[in-house]
Amino acid sequence: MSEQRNTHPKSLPEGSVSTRPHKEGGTSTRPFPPRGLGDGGGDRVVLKVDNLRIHYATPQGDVIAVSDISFNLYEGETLGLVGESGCGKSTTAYGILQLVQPPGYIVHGSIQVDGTEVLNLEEEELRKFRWTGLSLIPQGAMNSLNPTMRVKDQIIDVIESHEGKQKDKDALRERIFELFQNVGLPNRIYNMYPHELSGGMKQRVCIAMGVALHPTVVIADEATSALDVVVQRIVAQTLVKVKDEIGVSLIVIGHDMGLLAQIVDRIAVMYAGKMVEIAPVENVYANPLHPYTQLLIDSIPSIKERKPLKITEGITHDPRNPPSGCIFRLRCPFAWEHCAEVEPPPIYVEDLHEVACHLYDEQFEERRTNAHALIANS
Amino acid sequence: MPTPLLQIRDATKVYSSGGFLGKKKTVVALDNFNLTIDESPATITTIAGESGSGKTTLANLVLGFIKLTSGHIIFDGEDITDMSDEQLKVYRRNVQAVFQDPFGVYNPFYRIDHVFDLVNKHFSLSDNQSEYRDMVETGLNVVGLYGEDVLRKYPHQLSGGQRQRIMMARAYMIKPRLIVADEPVSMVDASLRASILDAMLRLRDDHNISFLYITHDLSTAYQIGDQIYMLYQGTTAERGTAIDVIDAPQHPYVQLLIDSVPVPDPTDKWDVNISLPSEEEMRTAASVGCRYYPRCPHRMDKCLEEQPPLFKMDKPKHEAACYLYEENEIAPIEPPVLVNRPITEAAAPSRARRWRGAAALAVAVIAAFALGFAIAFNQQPQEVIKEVAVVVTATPEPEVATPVAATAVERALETAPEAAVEMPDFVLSPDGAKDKGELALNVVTLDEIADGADKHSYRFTGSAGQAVTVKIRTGGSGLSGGNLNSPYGAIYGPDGAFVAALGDTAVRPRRSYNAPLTLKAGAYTIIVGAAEVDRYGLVGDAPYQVEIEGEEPAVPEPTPLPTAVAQDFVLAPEGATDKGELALNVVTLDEIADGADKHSYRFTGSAGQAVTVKIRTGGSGLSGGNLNSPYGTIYGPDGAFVAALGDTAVRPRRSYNAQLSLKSGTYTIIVGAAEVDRYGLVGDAPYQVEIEGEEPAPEPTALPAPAFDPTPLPQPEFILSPAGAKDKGLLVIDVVIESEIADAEDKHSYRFEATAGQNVSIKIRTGGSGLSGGNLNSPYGTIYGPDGAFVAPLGDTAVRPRRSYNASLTLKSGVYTIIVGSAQVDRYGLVGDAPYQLSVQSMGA
Ligand SMILES: Nc1ncnc2c1ncn2[C@@H]1O[C@H](COP(=O)(O)OP(=O)(O)O)[C@@H](O)[C@H]1O
Ligand code: SF4
Ligand code: SF4
Ligand SMILES: [Mg+2]
Repeated sequence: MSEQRNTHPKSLPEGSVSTRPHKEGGTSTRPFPPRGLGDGGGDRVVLKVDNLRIHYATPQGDVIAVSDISFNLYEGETLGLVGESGCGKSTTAYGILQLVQPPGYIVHGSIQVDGTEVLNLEEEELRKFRWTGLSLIPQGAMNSLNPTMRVKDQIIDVIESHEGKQKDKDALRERIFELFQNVGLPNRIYNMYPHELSGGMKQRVCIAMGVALHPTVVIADEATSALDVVVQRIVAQTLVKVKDEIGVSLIVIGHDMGLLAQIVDRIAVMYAGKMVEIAPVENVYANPLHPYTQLLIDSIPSIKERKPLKITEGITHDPRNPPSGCIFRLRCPFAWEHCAEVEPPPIYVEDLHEVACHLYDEQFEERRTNAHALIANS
Repeated sequence: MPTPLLQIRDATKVYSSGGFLGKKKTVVALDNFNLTIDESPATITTIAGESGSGKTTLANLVLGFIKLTSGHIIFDGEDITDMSDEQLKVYRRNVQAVFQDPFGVYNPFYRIDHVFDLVNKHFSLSDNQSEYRDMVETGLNVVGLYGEDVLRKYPHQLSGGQRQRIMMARAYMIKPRLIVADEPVSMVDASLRASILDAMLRLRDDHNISFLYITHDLSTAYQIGDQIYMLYQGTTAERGTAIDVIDAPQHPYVQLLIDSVPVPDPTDKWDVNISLPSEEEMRTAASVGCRYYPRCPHRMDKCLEEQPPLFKMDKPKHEAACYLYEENEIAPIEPPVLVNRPITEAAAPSRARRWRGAAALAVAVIAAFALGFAIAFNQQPQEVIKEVAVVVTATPEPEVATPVAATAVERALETAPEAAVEMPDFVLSPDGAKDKGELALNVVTLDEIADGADKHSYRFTGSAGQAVTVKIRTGGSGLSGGNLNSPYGAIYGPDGAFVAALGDTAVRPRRSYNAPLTLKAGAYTIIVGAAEVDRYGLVGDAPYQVEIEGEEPAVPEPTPLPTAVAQDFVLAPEGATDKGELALNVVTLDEIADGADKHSYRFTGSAGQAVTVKIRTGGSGLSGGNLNSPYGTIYGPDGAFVAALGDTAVRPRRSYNAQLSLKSGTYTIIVGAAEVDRYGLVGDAPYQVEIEGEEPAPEPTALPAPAFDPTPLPQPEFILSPAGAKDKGLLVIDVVIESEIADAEDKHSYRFEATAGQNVSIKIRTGGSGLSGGNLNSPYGTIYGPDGAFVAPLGDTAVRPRRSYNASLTLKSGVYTIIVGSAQVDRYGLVGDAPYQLSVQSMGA
């Protein structure tokens, strides 16, 4: 699949900062601790998304919701996916799980989980694969719990639909209690209905369902938005704890940069369907490279210091008609003619850090220096 | 000392639920709360706390949507419960609101300028067009917007930040002194919040407008807030300047809260080891003593004895309600500054006062019940009211009961100044009502906007003995909760005598009222008003709908609505794309349309045929907050307006029905749909139309059954053989078969007749709603030609399920057969059968 990519980092234009080393089987160290117990470290790619493109058909033309994005998720890793609403985060998640609903459709791409091409799975395999290979805690999941079913029945449903009818009811209950324990829920909710639970508890039931069959990859879409800070913290920490205990790899979708800083290892920044930067979390906060990432970091509200407000509007172009060249150029303070003519390819800047912006192309070093000077002065 | 702008003293709000049949539950949402906002300079006062801590209750109290159980809200030195009508009007202008959902406020079918036109109409800002335009432009400029960029746009074309700022501009034009902003940024992306906060700062600094800023987001409070009140279960845990409190929180709860705000610095991570209280503990309130006791890491025995008062901290005006600071001085509650008369009982409300409040409420509820019975039994309601009034005066503490009743009377007076003496206060007199014409039976009026000052009068003609139910309801959908629109009305008989009341506004607003009546012959009159106590702050009038439900006494003759009513929310047939003829009881597949791109359907009615025309959104609603809304208009054989589908004047709804009794001839339905996803997505939306009813004369053309033997084909497993398929009859080109249920064992077979060279597109798709997200129903099928030979597959189930498949074919002449199956591959793993939809669409020759 990767051959069809015209912007693959392996085929960078000349003069870019450096070339990307082979990840697979590579020996580079990663900025988060490997989870494996003596399995040689967590450098294994568990999810490989390649050149994924998803459209929503509308009478005025297709909305380009996800535009040729590629990334890897490593074993034991927590990857954050950020960007303003409408940038395609949820659609990416649905795409990975093959859950895109009409008028949406996958135009092309490849999604491999542990080497299995998800797009080639047969219906029955795909059904098995959800929850066991890949699971999604959808946006607003807590509101999608079936109000007429007890918590236990919903979890049992997930288990039995994949493992068949469980004869040993006691063992099944113990298994659910263990899940409760993982997500910090009291056993007494076993027989309760969703409406009897608080928002944070419902959200944790969804997490419990998501990890019930020990999937390789769990995707949590805005799992803590709409919760109070204390509850949000409990739920976020639950996610991280469960990830470590059960040994899954996690994609956390959100727009709260503060929260992501707390729980993720790497961050992928999306803008209008494009992935514009992907980097270890420390780099993103200490040294954001893409002008859009810089804007996101700048606009994080702080409770430590009062700063002048940085005013910005949302995505300004029609998603059916993206601008030529760089997707961000209509809002970019550094855009120049070249940005309108050529789409910036992802440029490899250092281990695990890529950015899609011409400023990081060697031949425009002068512009980059000026741009950075401008930021430093403001 | 100058009179403060807003003083809240000992404010207590108790909600009770159940009680009639179930067990009564009471929730103390606000408990002896005190707050002062100075008159000048303008400030932003933040009310922060977790959900359920009483923030929104406080906002609704200040906005006058709900009433205090005890205590005082004093604006400009005047207790709002003691205000005269004039003063209340001024108060409503002075206190404006901006709410959380920047979308629910807007009618998706109107351009932005409509918001301002409504304000102008309601508050009579200016008669002069150019002066008014200037006012709008100035208002927009204040919040950093320009008219040319936004006024002609539809709400969905703006970002959440822009929509919220337009609400601020709207509020600004009314020149209020206080804006109550309830979570105005919480639904807007963090990176877009700054523009809203900036607008608030400009209004505060350049226009002296104060804010009651309600939020659970402490960082924005820190950035722009002056004072902050941290609420915990209805009480103030801590207060002071936003900077003092957030920099150095003193109360154990506030410390946990601030420690839980994620720091945007990956090198400064949460101490994962601190043990967080279990969430259920967080919700349990202590009934005596400190409300934080069950969760508090520093709790002491003393904390259980009595609720801690606010103690003074080191910084001026910084106070915390915690016994850890017992050594400190107790912060005094400043006595309220009143302009006219002093409040007799100030400060500390006693238990007795709370009890009296409850008694007053009970009396009010009794009154409501009594009235309900009165109407049901066709008694003269005023007698009941008199009795209730006696009960009221007989309560031990009538002075507390009075404010509740008095306000209602005030409201009724304000709205019906010339009410007949014998009538209860809330009965609207016919005097001064604007005539809105004749009402047809079983036709719901479109949303009309009215209030007491602007009453509407409808006429309808009854036949002797005819049984009808007169229904009145608010036009709001109430999607976001908190909506307190209330319609009310009165019915007068042919002789002009009072017949029945619609409403019990003497007590509290309700969303709908019914009056079942047995009519005499003659013309009845319904007088309608509606009070808007909408949480979006457009205090004043409200949309309502009226309907007379009942049996037609004679031949139905749908009355065309007066064209004055049929304004822009009625879709004109002009410019609509013709989508062909609709068959009875067949749902169209999802079609996509918007206001600019209307569709037109035709169907043929027989005289006297009863049908229900249904229109609904086809949207998947995957993300929860989907607000797709269809809308439409039905025209009769003579081209006259028959009925509206939708109340687009107000808010989007997922479906609309219209019950019609047809004349013979061709009807036309014009349909549009808008996608008003709360995330501000695209403009158009999918919809479905259906005409439900009895066939007048069922005579489907019977074609000869296909005479062919299935060709033995090398069949991949996703090719369905015709063998064993259940015959479902003849398919009409361009008509959709909706939601049949099938699986591989239970195949269906359809036939259709083709002409040589005809181009068709055969579509098959799952009929599943997909509401819960992971639904993966998949249809599949196979097409056979007139000779019985395999023509094309529909589906690649050998590969993976998909929601729909198409095949485009150029046909030979003869009868084609489509074999259809469908598999349910629901994400919860309930494999089995699934609904499907099938259509053969003509693409010309
Ligand atoms: N059902 C739909 N029809 C048309 N466009 C859609 C639909 N759902 C989402 N989109 C578009 O796809 C893009 C990405 O949306 P989404 O994945 O929901 O973003 P996010 O999760 O980042 O908020 C947006 O431009 C949105 O307008
Ligand atoms: S490529 Fe150009 S327009 Fe795009 S982000 Fe970089 S500098 Fe800005
Ligand atoms: S009063 Fe007691 S229980 Fe309440 S917060 Fe202070 S120390 Fe904790
Ligand atoms: Mg999303």
